Amino acid sequence: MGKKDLNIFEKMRGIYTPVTEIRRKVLAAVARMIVEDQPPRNIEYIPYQIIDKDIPTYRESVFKERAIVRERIRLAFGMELKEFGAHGPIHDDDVINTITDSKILKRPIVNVIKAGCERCPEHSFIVTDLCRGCIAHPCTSVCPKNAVSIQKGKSFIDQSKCIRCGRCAQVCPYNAIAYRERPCAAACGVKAITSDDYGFADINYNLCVSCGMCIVSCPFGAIGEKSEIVQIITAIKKGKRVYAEIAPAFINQFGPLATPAKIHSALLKMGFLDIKEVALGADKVVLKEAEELVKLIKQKKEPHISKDQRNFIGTSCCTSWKMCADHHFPNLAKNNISESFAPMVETARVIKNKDPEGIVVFIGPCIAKKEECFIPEVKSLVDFVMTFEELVAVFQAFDIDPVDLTEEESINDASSIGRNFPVAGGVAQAIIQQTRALLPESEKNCDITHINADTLAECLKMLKKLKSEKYDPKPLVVEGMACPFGCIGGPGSLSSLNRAKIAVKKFAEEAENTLPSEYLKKK
Amino acid sequence: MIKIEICCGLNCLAHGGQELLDILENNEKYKKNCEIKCVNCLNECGDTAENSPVIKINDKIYKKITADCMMNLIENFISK
Ligand code: SF4
Ligand code: SF4
Ligand code: FES
Repeated sequence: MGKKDLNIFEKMRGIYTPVTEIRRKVLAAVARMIVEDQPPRNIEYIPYQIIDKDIPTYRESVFKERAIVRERIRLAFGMELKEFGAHGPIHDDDVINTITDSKILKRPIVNVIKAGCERCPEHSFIVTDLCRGCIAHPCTSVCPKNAVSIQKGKSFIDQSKCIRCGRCAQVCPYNAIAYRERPCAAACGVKAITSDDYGFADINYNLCVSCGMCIVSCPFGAIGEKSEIVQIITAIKKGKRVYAEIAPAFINQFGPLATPAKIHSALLKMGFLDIKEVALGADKVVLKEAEELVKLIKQKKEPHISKDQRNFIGTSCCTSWKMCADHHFPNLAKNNISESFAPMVETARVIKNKDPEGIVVFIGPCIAKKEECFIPEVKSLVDFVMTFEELVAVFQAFDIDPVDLTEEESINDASSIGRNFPVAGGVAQAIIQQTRALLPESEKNCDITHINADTLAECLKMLKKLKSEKYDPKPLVVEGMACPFGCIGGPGSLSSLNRAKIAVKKFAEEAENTLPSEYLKKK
Repeated sequence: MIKIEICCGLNCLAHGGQELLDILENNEKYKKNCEIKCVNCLNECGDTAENSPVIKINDKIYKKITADCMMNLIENFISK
């Protein structure tokens, strides 16, 4: 028997592939160019550094390979892609404009590099050569649309009739009928990926919530996200007061030897003035949401039924989940999902309160946070976003290896509850624990039911069930996370899930306080 | 006991070193026969990480090693 089926984005996770290699090399080369103050025209050399062979390695020709690298470089600079037909040199006025310390990023964040897209066939059932043309041929008998017939001694599926129910595949004694799907479209939980007129993958930006799952699932590396590393490095090099806030998933992302204290030292050495744990913002969010829950529990005791009454506390820390809920279930979301901003925003507020002129850089596993920064209130607090993967490239460019540094001071900005955020289920648990602490003694042990979902597809299922009130008992806390297994499964992360999970737990245990209320009061 | 040192320096981290570590740590046979150690940059990665990932098996350096290559080497050492 085979192994259990994996979700599309779990398939390549934790496997180092040439797609990963190219993505990271491009980022490092771009970062190096800025760190070393090379002239903008040097951008033209990067494709030749990355694709340095004379014969093709990955595609049909080196020219195409370089053309795709060019597009990746544009994304790494934060520029727009150049679509087919608009191909010109990558080094144009855009490049000069990107070398600045102000924000240049424009929507959309997630882009299909059409030149790299191999137009994978859309989902369909196909007969493979395992078919032995058996006498029983049950496949022909079970198809509700009569789409399967025997032709030239083998099973044949008429795709124009097929409704993809999968019945034929289910009954084939040889498992000869296979389901094939487009990796990018299969990864997209909100079904935002379709085909354009030529069959290239195309993102419907009305639906896309910038979760980034298609980026890590395309086996041809044809989808990429815009990056802000150029502007971040420029700001640091110009001597601006730049602050970093690092998401709780950072533990173990830079290898087992890069302890939190060493990462702290490395960021300082790079030129950040100060580093805050985003878990601090998480603490604040938990406290707020716990207070909302206490109110809700009180309310529930005196039920005067009004229509848009609040039924549960929906978590608000995952941008993609919130966007997806807002879009597909606007009323449900409006009444129930917490108004509080993501921990990223709360942490930035702390920094900006101290230094209103400071530049705040969020570092995390998340691509959707780049999208969140388009919200006006967030925009004024968080200046730039960079993923862990991008940070590694920037470290490489600065020639700073956290592992080589001495541990000066460790980070100590949060309670263990805030630090537990990045693992699926962690937010719901955090709110419940904090709520129990806030409730009066007599109610401490009351039932607080909760549900949680990770991946957007599961989140949507959960929302649907919530809307039709299928849950019994009705949940009081509802947690949604767009990434599989929570933030530690984010598209910008590097560590294997298992090691990340263990490390996050350990780091949380090291916090001096358990509850956000304790830690925040102490401050 | 086979001595394996996996480079956990920055360049190798970015280019597949951690994934090699995962393979070793998830394989009972390797865990039984090898002494696995995470080490700082072995100074073999090169300026643009062109040689990463780097590992050391019984004090011999292997550059730009792939997962299947590493497993072959270890199997060879084990059967010796
Ligand atoms: S998986 Fe990649 S190559 Fe295939 S259709 Fe999607 S974007 Fe194109
Ligand atoms: S929602 Fe996520 S998976 Fe879907 S297109 Fe947008 S970034 Fe890609
Ligand atoms: S980082 Fe591995 S040899 Fe330098």
